[in-house]
Amino acid sequence: MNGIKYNHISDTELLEHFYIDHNNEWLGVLLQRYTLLLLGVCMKYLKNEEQAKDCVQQIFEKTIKELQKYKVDYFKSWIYMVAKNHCLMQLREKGKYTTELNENIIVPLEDAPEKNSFIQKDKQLDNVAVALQQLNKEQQQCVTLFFLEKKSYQEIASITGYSILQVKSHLQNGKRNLKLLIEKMSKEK
Amino acid sequence: MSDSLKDILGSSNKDIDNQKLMDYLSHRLSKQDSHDIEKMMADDDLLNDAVEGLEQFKSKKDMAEYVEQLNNHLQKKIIKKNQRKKKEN
Repeated sequence: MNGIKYNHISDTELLEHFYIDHNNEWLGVLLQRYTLLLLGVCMKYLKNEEQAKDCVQQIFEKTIKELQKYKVDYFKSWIYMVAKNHCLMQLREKGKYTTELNENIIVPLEDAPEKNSFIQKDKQLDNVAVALQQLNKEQQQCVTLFFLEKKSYQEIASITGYSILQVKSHLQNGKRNLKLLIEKMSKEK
Repeated sequence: MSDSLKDILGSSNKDIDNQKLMDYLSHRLSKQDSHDIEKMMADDDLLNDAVEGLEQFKSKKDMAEYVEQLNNHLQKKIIKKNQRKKKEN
């Protein structure tokens, strides 16, 4: 499974090759990088192993079709969006659709994270320490243990007594709040 | 190109290696490696969703089997499409 042949070629480069010669084999290489990840995403939303597998197959077919039609710049964000929307469609057809899912599942295609300049990141680092103090206790604790002390989810759960799911959610919320606080700080300056 | 296609499955340089992710899911990684993956998860919504879903597979062996089936099917489909294209030309 550890092929090295194409490892040095980035997703973007594979797509560029494809746009030049329209040989679908480039897409094969690219999509296989995402099979496992997509299977996981589909499983998360559909909660059924067979359905998740079929769903990935449909996403592959859809992707191959769409990529013939137009150019995609940030493949990873794009295919993630395609996959989520496809899962939502499936749930809708089965009538399992809820508004809660609707709000969380459809994501607009954001600018790729690569766009953030390093200089900006450096400035932000100063603000992180300040912002960290403003998080609630649970989030502060989890974020500190995870990012500064490099503990795993399991270890944080043992230290704090939270469940792994709680640790994950404190981390995610903590990170999101940190971002918001930092954005606010840089605007004020 | 088609012969070497089998070699791939792996990862692009900055993204996570599929084998490593499988090892993580089967709890076969060291603390350090597990933490590296969890750190990537915190920055990567796709990976985070994927792990959440993959953890729900009852058997990790079945999961790997599904991935292989999907890749084989994809491969066949692509060869077919290319042949069709050649005929059209």
